[in-house]
Amino acid sequence: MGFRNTKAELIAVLESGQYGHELRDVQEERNLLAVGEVSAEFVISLLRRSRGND
Amino acid sequence: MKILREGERGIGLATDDRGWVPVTYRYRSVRLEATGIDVPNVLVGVDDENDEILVIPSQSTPRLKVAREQVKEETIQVKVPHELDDVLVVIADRFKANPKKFTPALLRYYLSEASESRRLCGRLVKLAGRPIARGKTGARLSFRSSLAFRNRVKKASSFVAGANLSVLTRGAILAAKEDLIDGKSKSRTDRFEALAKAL
Repeated sequence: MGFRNTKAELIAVLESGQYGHELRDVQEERNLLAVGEVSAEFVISLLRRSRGND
Repeated sequence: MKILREGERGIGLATDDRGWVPVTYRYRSVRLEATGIDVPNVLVGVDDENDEILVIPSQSTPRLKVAREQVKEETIQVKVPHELDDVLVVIADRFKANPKKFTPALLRYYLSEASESRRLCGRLVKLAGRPIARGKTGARLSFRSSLAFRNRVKKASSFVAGANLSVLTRGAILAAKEDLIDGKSKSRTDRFEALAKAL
């Protein structure tokens, strides 16, 4: 699966709210989305601006 | 967004070599390592085989966020003349509200608004110069505030010379009296009318 497809799938999942975090990633410095430090909307906007070679 | 319920099933990535394994969602305490906070009653996906927490669904994120923000909160304390403390009780009584709940919301509102409005900030500083606000400080006000709120107050302090938390708070009390007791602001009165009902 290419970058564009994966990106589209990830954005769709984030928009739907149907996702979970692995607990070992719920360390506040590493997974800012899991602890609400950044919002799903912020991650989506970041993904939308990203290219495969970033 | 689908809200998961306790007892629903899902999958999670095992921490050993079993790969994806079935999990059941249950309410458990989650420990956040960096801040050392134990957050109770978080819905998590638990490994059916060894009872280990493997997944945190997105619906549990706001609960973790609130727990982290509470730790960041601090209590702001300001000493004011007794007369201004009386004014706060009069205002709460005007709205038939409990002063302990109503006063922090009132002060946060005015201080927050002052951080967005140079004009209001100037008004608070001017009001704080009145004799009633400059009497002997015998009453202590305290209310919890987030880091974001304290930063907003700092911003307000930079608007006008002489503005600091103590000055702005004293000014805020007198501004609230003018607006809500003396009838200077209908819109603010309506806003606090609604707030008092919600408390």
